[in-house]
Amino acid sequence: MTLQFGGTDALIILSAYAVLMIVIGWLAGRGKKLGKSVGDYYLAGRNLGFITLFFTLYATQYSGNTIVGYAPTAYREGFSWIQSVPFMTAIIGVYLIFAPRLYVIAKRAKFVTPTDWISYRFESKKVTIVAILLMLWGLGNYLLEQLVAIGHAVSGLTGGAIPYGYAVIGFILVMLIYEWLGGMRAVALTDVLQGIILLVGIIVVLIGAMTLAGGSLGNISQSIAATEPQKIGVPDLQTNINWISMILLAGIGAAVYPHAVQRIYSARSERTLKRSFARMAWMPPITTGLVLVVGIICIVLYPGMDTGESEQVIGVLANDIASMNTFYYWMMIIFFGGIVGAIVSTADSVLLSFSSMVSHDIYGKYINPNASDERKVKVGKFVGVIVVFLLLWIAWNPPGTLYQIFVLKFELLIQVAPCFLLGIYWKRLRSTPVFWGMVVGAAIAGLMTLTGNNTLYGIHGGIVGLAANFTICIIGSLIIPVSDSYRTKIKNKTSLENNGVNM
Amino acid sequence: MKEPIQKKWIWVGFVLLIAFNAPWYLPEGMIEPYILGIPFWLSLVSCFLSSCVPI
Repeated sequence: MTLQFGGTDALIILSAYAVLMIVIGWLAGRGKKLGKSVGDYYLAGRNLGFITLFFTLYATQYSGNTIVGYAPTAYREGFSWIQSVPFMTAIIGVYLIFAPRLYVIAKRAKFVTPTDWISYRFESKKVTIVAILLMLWGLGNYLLEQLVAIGHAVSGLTGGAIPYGYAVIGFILVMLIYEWLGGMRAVALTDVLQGIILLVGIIVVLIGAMTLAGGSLGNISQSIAATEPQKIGVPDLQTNINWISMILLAGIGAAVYPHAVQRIYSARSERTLKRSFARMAWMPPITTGLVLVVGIICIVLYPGMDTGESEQVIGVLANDIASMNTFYYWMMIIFFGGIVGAIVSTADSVLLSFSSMVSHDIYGKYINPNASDERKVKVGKFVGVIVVFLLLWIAWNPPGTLYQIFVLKFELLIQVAPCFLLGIYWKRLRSTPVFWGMVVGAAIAGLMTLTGNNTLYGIHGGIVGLAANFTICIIGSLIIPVSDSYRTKIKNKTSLENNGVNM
Repeated sequence: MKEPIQKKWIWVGFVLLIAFNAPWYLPEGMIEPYILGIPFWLSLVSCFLSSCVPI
């Protein structure tokens, strides 16, 4: 998207923003010898307080796509896109199912990555390896999306003054520098700033859009009912089924994202964790809910856009708001800076998580089990650089065939959910059914996507695969005989007896 | 520690959110009546949603 405002002013704001991020990274890591411990580097010493934890959960869950992607969807689909609010709320609900207990176990057993839980619970190399592959695949594709989005956002905001390629490389370097300097602590602290800018930006753009529309929500509704009634009426059955499927897909998928799980491990106390989740439950209405209203207003402001044009609708709106007066001009620059920040804040969390899984899980468990923490952190940093530039190469040289494999994200990642949701409570759950459940679930989801059948009667491939996955896990575990000693072992492993954990 | 999953209202909230947030039980294309400027079905969906927010 090319914005008519911005240019040099945006360049100044983005440069200031980049410098600020690096300063925060330096302050976060100053005097802490972060490279000596994986717990300090990847989990901020397991000591994130309420404000930091809340904002890092917020900035990680809501990326720039929440605005530049969701507003055009609301424009095209109309009021039925209110589903973006419940599926964000569902994520918090799913966290509440497993996070408090996982937190206690993680603190006791000193987990660093989600894989630590899986290998601790199932003691199975094959389950661990499949779970690592699924999670890394999901994370890699998610990171790829964010890197492409950074380039488009910066290039658009500066009116092409920073070309796409330079924008991506520039912000990646900034991200790597502050991440190397301060690890998870730097990521979490920059998330506070990025989260605040994003929230303020959404509110300002909504006020600007309401001012441009010059009417109440009632007038806007009636105007849409008169011109495009399909965007305001109760949606058809298939859309409703897709809506329910989306709540399940996003709710479960986003809650078991490795970087989300690592935020559970990073909480200072269980109370901090619960308070952060309680506040997070209020964020969907004031984030995706407000973005929905912005998209709806755009239906009235810019009628008749086709799909391609509607993708640019936030840029078009921002241009019009910026041209109202100087205040709105600067607010729109900050707003788009906030979008870049939101993308970066998601990308940095994903990259850190990716690095931790490669260095701690693959290198530390299978390649060099005797490696020191310092060595693992160094490997993680090195892998992070390699991965980012490999993904960039893919982004700039997209494969002619099988491009769909780079779209697979939630659909594959969600297949690790039974390891968490069932594994944490059901002592009878065994490793063999879990392994086959993940393999079959991923195969179904992957095949559906690769054959262009993303949904079945509106149900996402990931959910179809997950249903098969859960079925295999449950029936398989019921069939396999279980000894009393196994039950006792799992009971002890998953118990809430905290042995000194700070509650 | 009292875990959230031991609270019954969490599960009630979940059922409401998953089963009744999408308005499949209302006639397709229904718009009116309006409540506070928005269609009735949207108000209903928002009610199911707000019942889950205290989660």
